[in-house]
Amino acid sequence: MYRYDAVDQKIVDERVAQFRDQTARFLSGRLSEDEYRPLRLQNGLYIQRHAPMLRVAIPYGMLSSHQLRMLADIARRYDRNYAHFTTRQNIQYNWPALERVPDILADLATVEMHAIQTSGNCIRNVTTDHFAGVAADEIVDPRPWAEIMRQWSTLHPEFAALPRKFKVAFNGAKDDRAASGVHDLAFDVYRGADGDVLLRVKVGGGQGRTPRIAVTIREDLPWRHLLTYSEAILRAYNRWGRRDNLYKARIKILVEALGPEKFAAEVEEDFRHLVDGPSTLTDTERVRVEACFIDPPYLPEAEAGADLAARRAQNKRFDAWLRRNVIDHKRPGYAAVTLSLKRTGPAPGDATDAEMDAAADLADRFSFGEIRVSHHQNLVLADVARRDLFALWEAADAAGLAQPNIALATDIIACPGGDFCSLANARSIPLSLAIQQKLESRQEEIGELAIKISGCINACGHHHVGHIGVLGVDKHGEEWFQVLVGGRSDSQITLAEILGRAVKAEDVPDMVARLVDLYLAKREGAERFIDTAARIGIAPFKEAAYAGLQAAA
Amino acid sequence: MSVLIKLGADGPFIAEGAPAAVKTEATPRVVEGGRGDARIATYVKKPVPADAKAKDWRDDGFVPLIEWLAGERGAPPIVLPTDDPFTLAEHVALPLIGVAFPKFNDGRGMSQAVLLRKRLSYGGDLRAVGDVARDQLFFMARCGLTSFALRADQDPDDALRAFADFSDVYQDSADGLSPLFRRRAP
Ligand code: SF4
Repeated sequence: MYRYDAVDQKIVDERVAQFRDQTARFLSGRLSEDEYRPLRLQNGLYIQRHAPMLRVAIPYGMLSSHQLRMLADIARRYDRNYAHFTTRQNIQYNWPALERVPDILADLATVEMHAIQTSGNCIRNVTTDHFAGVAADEIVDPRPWAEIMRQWSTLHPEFAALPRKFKVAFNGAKDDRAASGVHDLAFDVYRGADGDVLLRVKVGGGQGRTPRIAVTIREDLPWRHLLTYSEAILRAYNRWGRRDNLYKARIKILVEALGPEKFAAEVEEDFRHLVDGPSTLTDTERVRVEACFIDPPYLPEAEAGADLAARRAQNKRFDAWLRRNVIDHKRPGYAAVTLSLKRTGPAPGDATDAEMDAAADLADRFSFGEIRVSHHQNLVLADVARRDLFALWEAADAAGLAQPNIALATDIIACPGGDFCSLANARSIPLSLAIQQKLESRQEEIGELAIKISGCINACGHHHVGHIGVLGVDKHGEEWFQVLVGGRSDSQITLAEILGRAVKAEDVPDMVARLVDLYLAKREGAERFIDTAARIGIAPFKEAAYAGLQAAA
Repeated sequence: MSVLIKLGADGPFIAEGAPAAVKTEATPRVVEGGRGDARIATYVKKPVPADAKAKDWRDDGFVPLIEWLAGERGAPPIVLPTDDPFTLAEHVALPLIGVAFPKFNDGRGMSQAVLLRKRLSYGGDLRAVGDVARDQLFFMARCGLTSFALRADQDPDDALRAFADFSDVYQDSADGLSPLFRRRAP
């Protein structure tokens, strides 16, 4: 993974000093609340429902075991012994004391981490595929490009006060696991006929109140122009994005208002003046950054593989885990393993300090000391020798991290919702628990099903791209939910459709169960829920959803 | 009067106004140590933002660009966030141009400054005017602004320190530094 050099370290250290000073000025009354807000936000510090919340960046989801132990330690020393992994591959602390946040940032800096631009109207943490570098279907490893983007966007002086937040994603695989289509700016990284790296540039995707899928404005952009082209896009957005209405301020609204062709023409016009300028990437820089993402020292003898058949036959839970949580690797003899943070009970994506320490130990023992955070709010050990899988499973199971539920009904994505978030209309966490309880015993039979819950229209729980999406709405101060069907975030990205009127929280689990029953009744062969939904359309789901519910509800 | 900071060859200095002119009376905020202090909620209340439209840049010694282009030449022009900076293409010999920052969280002035410097090769003094506070100065200087009419409540000595917040930067902007990747030791 990328390691800081002296300059990277210095910039992060100076950022800590700067924020310490800003916080001191705020606490002494010399800096107004209004002015402190954007400064603290650009260091990941929110003021939430009960307390401040600190969001720490995990660039494109990559962590060393050493860093994960520090995250656990921070949960212990400054918070309530747990933290929450987010749908943006970040981690959030829900109960830090405001005046201690500079100390937390200083501790993070000792392990090459920070909270820079994890919030605020700026370029946010860059995300990518959690199987980057190991996926069998990968075309180009997107991580060097994500790292180059991270550096360029860090403390960018011109783009620190954009109309609204700006999220960037990279996808380098055939199957898009980065949900790139719902980002403000996304790059597909691929190879041209001569083998060199090219970029497809997509803009204007996003969820929230006005969900949109990103449109391609440029194909076959040579990699050298990644930053200059991005600069032209950001400048167009900074200058012309709406600032009068919070809900119309994302780049998707600008792209739609201008039309993608006109927007692309404006970008190309500016790019014409930037092309081949100083920000044009060099071979030296590409080589330097790519060298950080070379393969770990895979053991050739591991390629002989392991015969797991006997273990599987003896142990049903291990067998289920192998089927659900383990995927093929580009190297024979290796596998990528997901450690589930979806236990029926704790909030999806929450991990205690002990669990984080345990996961760090597993990474050291089984996966070259590295671990990833997925936007599904799980942890990934990307490089496990197949012959170690049983030992890993036993250790993960002992740590409570081996629920065999990846991509199943209980692998729910949920935002923090009304339990923590001050913007929420409804509580996502209790609802996700109720749905988990409802479907847990049948999840193997149901198969792949992505349920995604957001506590409000901001859609942090990605409900627009859930096979089943659930959205909290406010009705006369009560918690109600709208249910959606048919969304997906992969290469065939589709936005889910609302089934109909909102229902009370207590009616949602049964409604979801009815949708599942309909699918099971209609499925043909090996169809997944999303395949059946695509084939039969939304109408039967609308009907099933409200069957038996009081019309007057 | 408010303090004017300029960037000189030896770094930033106070060009006008008394260095210790304005020390605002500050009342420390009480923050309970510990976790989840409910009183934190009182921080969230937003003060009503000053009405940006009401601002007359003539009070700051500038004429809004559109009026300036229409012939009102009593003072140098100031580029507002919605203005087209390329209309100044014929006027790059001006010694001073203002860039308006009606609100500290409106970043359009940053792009206006970059375009004036890099696309029009403007070489004169480019002044940040308006809601110009300590915590924007480092970025403003990077975007090619060379003088800063500080908001009245700002501590000038503190503001001078802002230019040294970071000793290095990653990206190219309009202050003449090349991107870090072109300067890194191999
Ligand atoms: S979706 Fe709404 S409720 Fe949930 S975390 Fe985002 S802003 Fe908060």
